Amino acid sequence: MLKQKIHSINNFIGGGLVRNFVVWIVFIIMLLGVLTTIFVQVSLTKTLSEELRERGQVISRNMASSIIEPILIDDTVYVHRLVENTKKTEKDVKYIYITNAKGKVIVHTFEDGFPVELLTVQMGLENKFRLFDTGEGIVIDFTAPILDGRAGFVHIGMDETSMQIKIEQTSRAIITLTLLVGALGVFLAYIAGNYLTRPIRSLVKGTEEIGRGNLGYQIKTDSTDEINILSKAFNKMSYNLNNSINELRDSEERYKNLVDSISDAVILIDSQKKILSWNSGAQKIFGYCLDEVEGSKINIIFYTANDVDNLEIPDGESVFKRKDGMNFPGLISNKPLQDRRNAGNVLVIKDIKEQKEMANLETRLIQSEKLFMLGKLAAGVAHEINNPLTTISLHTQVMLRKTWDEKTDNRLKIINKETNRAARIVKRLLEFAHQSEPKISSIDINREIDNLLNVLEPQLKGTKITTDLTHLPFIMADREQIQQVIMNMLTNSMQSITTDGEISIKTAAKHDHIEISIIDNGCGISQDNIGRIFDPFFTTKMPGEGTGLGLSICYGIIKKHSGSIDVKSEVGIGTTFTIKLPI
Amino acid sequence: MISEKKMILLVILFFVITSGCLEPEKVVKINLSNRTVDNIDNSDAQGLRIAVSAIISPDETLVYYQDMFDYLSLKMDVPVKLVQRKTYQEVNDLVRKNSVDAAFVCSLAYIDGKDQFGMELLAVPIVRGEPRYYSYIIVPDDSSIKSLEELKGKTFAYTDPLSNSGKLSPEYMIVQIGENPETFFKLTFFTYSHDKSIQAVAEKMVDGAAVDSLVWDFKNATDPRFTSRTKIISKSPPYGIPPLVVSKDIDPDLKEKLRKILIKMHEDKKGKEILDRIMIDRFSEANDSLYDSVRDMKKVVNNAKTKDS
Repeated sequence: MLKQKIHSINNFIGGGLVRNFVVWIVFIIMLLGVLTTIFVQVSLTKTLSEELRERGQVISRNMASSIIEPILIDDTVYVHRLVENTKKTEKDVKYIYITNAKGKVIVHTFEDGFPVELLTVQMGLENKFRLFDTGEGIVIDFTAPILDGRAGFVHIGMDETSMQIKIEQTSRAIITLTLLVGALGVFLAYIAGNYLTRPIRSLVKGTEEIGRGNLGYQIKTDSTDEINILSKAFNKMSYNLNNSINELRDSEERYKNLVDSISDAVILIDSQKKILSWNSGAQKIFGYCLDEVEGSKINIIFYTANDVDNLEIPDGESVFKRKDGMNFPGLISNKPLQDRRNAGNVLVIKDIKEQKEMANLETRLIQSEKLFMLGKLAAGVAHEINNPLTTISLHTQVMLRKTWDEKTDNRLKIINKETNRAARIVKRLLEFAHQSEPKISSIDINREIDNLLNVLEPQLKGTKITTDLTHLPFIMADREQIQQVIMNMLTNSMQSITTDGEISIKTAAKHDHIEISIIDNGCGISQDNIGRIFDPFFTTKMPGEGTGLGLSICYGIIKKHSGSIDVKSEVGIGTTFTIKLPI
Repeated sequence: MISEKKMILLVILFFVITSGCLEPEKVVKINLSNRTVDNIDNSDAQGLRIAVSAIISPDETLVYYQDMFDYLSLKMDVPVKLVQRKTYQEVNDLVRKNSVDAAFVCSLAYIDGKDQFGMELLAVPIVRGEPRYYSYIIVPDDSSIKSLEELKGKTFAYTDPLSNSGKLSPEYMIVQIGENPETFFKLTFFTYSHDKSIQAVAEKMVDGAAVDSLVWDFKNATDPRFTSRTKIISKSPPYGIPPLVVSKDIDPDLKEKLRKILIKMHEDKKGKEILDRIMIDRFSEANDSLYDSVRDMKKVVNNAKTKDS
């Protein structure tokens, strides 16, 4: 289509509006010039040609009517004079000749004799005029009858040469004028183009300014045309845009502050589970700032999901990973984003590590109180039972010294044995109940562990125990009680492992405490039991095999030392006891 | 926006319109450089030349006499050429010099010719049963002038110095009423043919004119454009009709042959037709005495003129 063609021509021209304007103006002027030239040439040719013909006809007719008499009365002198005069006074007359009724030439204006060809061409012609190409230009030959041809004919040849010259001159003048106007057009179109496009250029500058972010940019206009309307609209748009953007910024700021004031991590992810936004709570919890994680997969904050492509984000409790590699438990809520574009979810993650620790602390507090009460009760009971037991034991041993029948002797032995057992339980109960104040001295834990392992060596029965003991500062503690705790722990571990089990003991010094970890790869403790292992009389062993007081006593001792015991365990993988003691 | 189609149509329309102006005409190639030696000759080989005085204007004469000349040419078996001159005198000279074989001349011209070089009568036309005609004094149709006397001090058109009806006769009439023909009119001039005189009066170029009755009547019957705008205020007595004359040196055989053809012309069907058309009954033998009245008038007028001068 024409529009596309114009468009492609404009593209071909290239450059700005002014250049296009100039080129088109010049093109239009040239086109009009060419059309005018053609038109003028055509119409001028027609007009002049008609005029020449009319003149030819008028001259020939006038002559024909005015020489009737002279011809009839054979006044050739008069006729000759008239013919010569006419040729001299009338323009464009190439020749005149007069024939009589029989076609014989009576008078002519040729100086060197009459051209024979003219007569042969002329014979038998009825037309008013004919065109002759003489080789020196076109001649229009007019024939006018004298007295209807009875007295003869007047022939006049009109030369077209001067007419052609006139047409050529006019055409040349128009072409020159067109070129001049074209040149002037370039100049004026350039000026006009510059003038007309000035407001457009300021508009363009305005848009560029806005594009650069200079919102609220105002264009200066002094015209009153459509461009002015456009400029005003632009200014208004710019003003409104600035206001809107400012409002939007304020609003965004408010929302950012709101979201940042939340201590929980609020994370916006897209449908590809890539992080889009990240509040300051998240930065605090995970240690990453937004720039580090923007565009990353959400996987990086999950403890277990580093390589999973399409992570199923859980709802509820989960374990997360900080930037420094530490893990922590958290509560996650995953809500799809109710957005027009509907692309993504909002994750709110709450760090519940402290909460959990608080819960632990509380449990332990209850445990302590429980133990304290139990201790009192047990001490009372033990004290009361100990006296009769002593009596029973004494009398049983007395009776055993005598000879009894075998049956009775056996029964006495059983009584003695069970009495001893009961006495032992009572003794342990008293130990538990007494929880006597530790005898504090400065001890080196590492050495205590070495000594203990040397003493236990015979009982280990090939169990592999490795140690990883780092240098520790001396701590103030009751040596015996600490030894009892460690031995108790080791005993527990040895009982949980199978023949190819392994136990390792690690010590580490922290800035305000030391840690002793006893790690085994045994059967582990189930989640149900892990909260109760420090309860007195809680045991998973068969009845008679353990009292269920070992760990309770350990707990009591460590507590007396202002320390703590942590336990982590997974069934089938192993258990880690960590004893922390203040320096 | 003008669609491309419309644009193309406009352009085509433009070319269609302009192409109408550019329609090429047939051009004949011609070479003007091939010239002949100039020998324009007006001589008619082996032909009969008959002159006609400009009783009526030469173009009218051509029309009027063409058929008769063609007839003569047919009968004589030679081409007959019509020769005309502006004045009666020139025709008389042609006859005198034997440049023509015969001539139609005016009555007065005949008298002069006969007196000067023995011009001979060949035949006279009979119009309305007699070889006579009149001179009419005419004025414009709406003129208040009713007689010749009232034309005194006016402008007047004569035909030819050798014309009887157009010159001699009115002069004679002026002499009759006791006036001098030289001074009677304020202004006079010669038209050299009667139809031009009629025209001059009709167009009111002059106040009056004297014309040949034959011409006026013929014109009035065939083409009353001018005669209808004139009226006759005076009619002269009858005069001998303008004759057909020959030189005295003409071959007698030719003269005889010519006379026979003319006199028998009305017996011929075609000849009759031609004569009817020019309102001539027939041609007849001529008698010189027919022109005596004209001779008398000439004498009277000449006397009057010489007396006054």
